[in-house]
Formats: sequence, structure tokens, C-alpha cells
Amino acid sequence: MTFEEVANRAGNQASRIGKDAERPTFSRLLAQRRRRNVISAWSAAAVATLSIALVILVWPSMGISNPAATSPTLTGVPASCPVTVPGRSAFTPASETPEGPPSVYDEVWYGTPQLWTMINPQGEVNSKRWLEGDRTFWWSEEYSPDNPGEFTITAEQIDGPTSTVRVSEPAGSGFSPFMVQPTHESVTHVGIALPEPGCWRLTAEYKGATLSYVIWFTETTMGEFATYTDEGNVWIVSDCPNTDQMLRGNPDGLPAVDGIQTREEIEAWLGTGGNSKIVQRNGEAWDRNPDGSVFTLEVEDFMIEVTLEDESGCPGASVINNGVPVIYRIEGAP
Amino acid sequence: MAESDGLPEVRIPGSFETLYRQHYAAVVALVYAMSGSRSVAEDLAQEAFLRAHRDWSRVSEMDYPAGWVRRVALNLARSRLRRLGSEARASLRAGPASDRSHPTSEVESEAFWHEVRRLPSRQAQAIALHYVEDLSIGEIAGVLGVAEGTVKALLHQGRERLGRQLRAKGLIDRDV
Repeated sequence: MTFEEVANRAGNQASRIGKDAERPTFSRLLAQRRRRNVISAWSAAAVATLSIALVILVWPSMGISNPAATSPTLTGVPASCPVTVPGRSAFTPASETPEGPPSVYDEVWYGTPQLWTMINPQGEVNSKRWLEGDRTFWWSEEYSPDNPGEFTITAEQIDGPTSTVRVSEPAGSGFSPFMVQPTHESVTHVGIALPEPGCWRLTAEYKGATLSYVIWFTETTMGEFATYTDEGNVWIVSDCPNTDQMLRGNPDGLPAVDGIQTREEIEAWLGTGGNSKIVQRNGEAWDRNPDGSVFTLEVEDFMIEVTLEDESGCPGASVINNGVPVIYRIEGAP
Repeated sequence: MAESDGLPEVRIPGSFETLYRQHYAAVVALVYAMSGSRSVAEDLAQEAFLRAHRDWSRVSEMDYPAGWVRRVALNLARSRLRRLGSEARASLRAGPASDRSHPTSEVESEAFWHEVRRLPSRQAQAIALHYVEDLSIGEIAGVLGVAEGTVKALLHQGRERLGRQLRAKGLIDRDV
């Protein structure tokens, strides 16, 4: 069997699958989407009412706006860790924002119109992304391009050695809208990597609104990665202490803008000048074969390089901005 | 014409309907190649067309609206894989999604796309556009937003690497 024979057969197979796929009339597809919006908007009113009641009853003095969420007993999670479980009907924005995240993520909006994010409806338990570092996505109806304000996310470990990760940056800073967002302006992305497993409370603050939720993850969920820490993972070495990062698997590249993802367009979006620039750092990542063995593959990746005058400007932990790793250079450093 | 849902009807331009009808199957096929999942392929293809409809006044003015839809679909597929990287690895451990009752050629095809997805993303996209849709170099360049020379290089590099991978798996007798 030659390469072309196998490739052409595979191409034909994929084409057959495409032709066999049910193609709903577009009017039906559109109607389904809009009907869900109507139902979700109705649910949101009830949920919002319940949220307000809960805030009044449970958190009268904390100033933290947590929407309806419960903390049932979750398998493997200690009772001392009140993981936030929003359920399926957590929150629907009132604006033209879609009623929920893309279905492929199987997540729900969580928060309030002043500040919301997307999380697992069953609770963020053993999600491997937290140790790997990943984007978190945030929206607010208070956002304005003319007055973006500062967005801050703080992660506090609440069941072990007191450890805090804090990332703060201008809202909507420089990068693309998240794919689900038709009104691009009201979104910001912040990457965060938590240094160790356990019970963490993530608290975001934006324009006076605060949103908090609790997650749980264990070391064991990362064991399969830890076994292969020398198998082609990408280390990003920074001039700043505590900001080296190890990216496992395919690190995120630059996010797409309206379905377009080219370096030139992202650079145009980022703008020129200032103390940050985009640099290309190709490397290798790893994945597994079906038999469990590990292989490495080349990855084409881009990162943001920030140049600082001295160490006083260094952050306390590694930073991933909008899914793009940030590396730090200090002027004059060897 | 939208179904009655209690909301004002949204006009669906005839030109968009034509695009949807003519290219839906191809976009599903393309996303299937890049995701390995029929349900995901349909979901992401529909999402890509919904976005095209939402921005139709702009997209319809483009030289190649069908290419724009494909590019959005490919980016959606890539974003999904990266976001779900951990889960994707779990699937990989179990091998490519296949049914043992499938004919051998289908299993081979699934294995082929499994190997394609291991390529650097641009190479994988170029390979998929070429073998699923039989697009020309110029058309692939239009979809990916790169120069034709870049497409030639991506296809060459992709074939070379893929050939080595397939040969190592015993799926082909000879390299490219």
C-alpha cells in the first residue's frame, strides 16, 4: 500500500462521513439556537433572583457576588473543600452573548452580569488544566474599551500551606475575543498556573465586582504527566525568579481572531512598541501512542516576551496571558 | 424562513443558504479529519456556519466565503483539541476511535487521520484540505491565509513526516 493510496482512501472516508452527516435546514439550526436563548434567559431571571437571595442570606458582609451554587459531597474531595458546583442552569447573560459556552466544552456560564466566567457544571474537580496552566475566560457587561479597567485574579490555597497566586492586568488587554463572544469587547482572558494540588479558591475582581469559586485537584491526576517530565516537554526559562514554566503537551499558541490566526494579525492587534513583543519559540511536546509509549512532536509556538528594567517588576509566579505564555527578560541580564 | 419561536424572524440571505447547502458536508468532513469525532465535526461545522451567518454582511464581501468558514471550523477544531488536551491524550491511549466491526480500510483511514493529527497543526490542516477536499494549492492558501509557496512547503513537509509515521506503523509499504 502506498502513501497516496492510503491518503486518498482516508480522504474519501472523511468525505463520506461529511455527506452522511445530517444537515439540518439552516432556519431550523438558527431557530434551535434562538429557542435555547429564550429558555435560558427565562431561567436566568429565576437564577438571578435566587442568587441575590443567597448573597443576601449567606454572604451579607463579604462583598463577594457568588451566584447559585452548591457544594455537595463529591467523590474524592474532602469535606473541608467546598468545591463550587454551579449545576446546569447557573447563569445566562442578558445581553446578546450566547446562552452558554460552546457545547464541546460541556461547561456553563457562572457569575453575574457584572462578572462571569465558564466552569464545569459538576464542579472543577481534578481538572488537569490547573497545574498545566491554562486560560480562564471572563466577561463583564461593565466592560468598555474606553475604560477597560484592571482585572485581577487571585488564587488562594485553602487547605494547606498558604500559597497565593495573583495575576493582574488591564482588562481586554491586547488579545483576541474568545470564540464564543459576539460582542468582543466585554471579555478578557487571563492565564493562571497553580503551583501545587489541593483546594483553591479563585477570586476575580473587576470594577468593584467580585466572583469567587472553589476548585479541587490532586497530585495523582498529574502522575501520568509527571512520569514523563523529561520526555520532550517545553521549558520556558525566564530571567525572573519563579516564572519558569513547563508546558506539557501542545502549548497554546496565539488565540484566533475571528477565525484568523496569523502572527502578523496578532502583532497588529498587540500593537508595536512598549516593553512587550511576540517571539517565536519552536520546541517539542509529547503525546502518547495507542500502546502507551510516548512520542514527541514539534510545536510551532509563540510567546509574549516582556522586558523589564530590573527584578522589581517581576511577578511572583509564572504568567500565561490569554493562553500565551509570558517570558520575562531583564535589561542587561546575561 | 425561521421557525416560529416567538422571536422576530431572522432573514437568511439566499446566497448564504446556497453556501450552507453546498459546503456543509465538506466542512463536516474536514473537521472530522481534524477531530476524529463525527458529533464534534457536526457541532463545530454548524458553529462555523452560524458565525458566517452572523457576520454575513462582511463575510459575503470576501473573495472566498467558503474558505472563511473552513478556516473558522479548523480553528475551532484546533482550539478544542488544545483545551481538551488531557482528554485527548486519554483517547489516544485507547487508540483511534474505531469499531472492530468496521472494514479494515476504515480502520486504516482512522489510523491515517490519527497520525495526521500528530503533525504540526498547519501541516495537518494542509494535508486535510488536500486529501479530504482535493483543493488546489491556491484554494488551500486562501483557506489558511498563507502564500501558495507556504502551502507547497507545508504539504511537502507534512507528507514526508506522515510517510515516516505511517511506515513505522506498518500502514504503508513505501515512504512518500
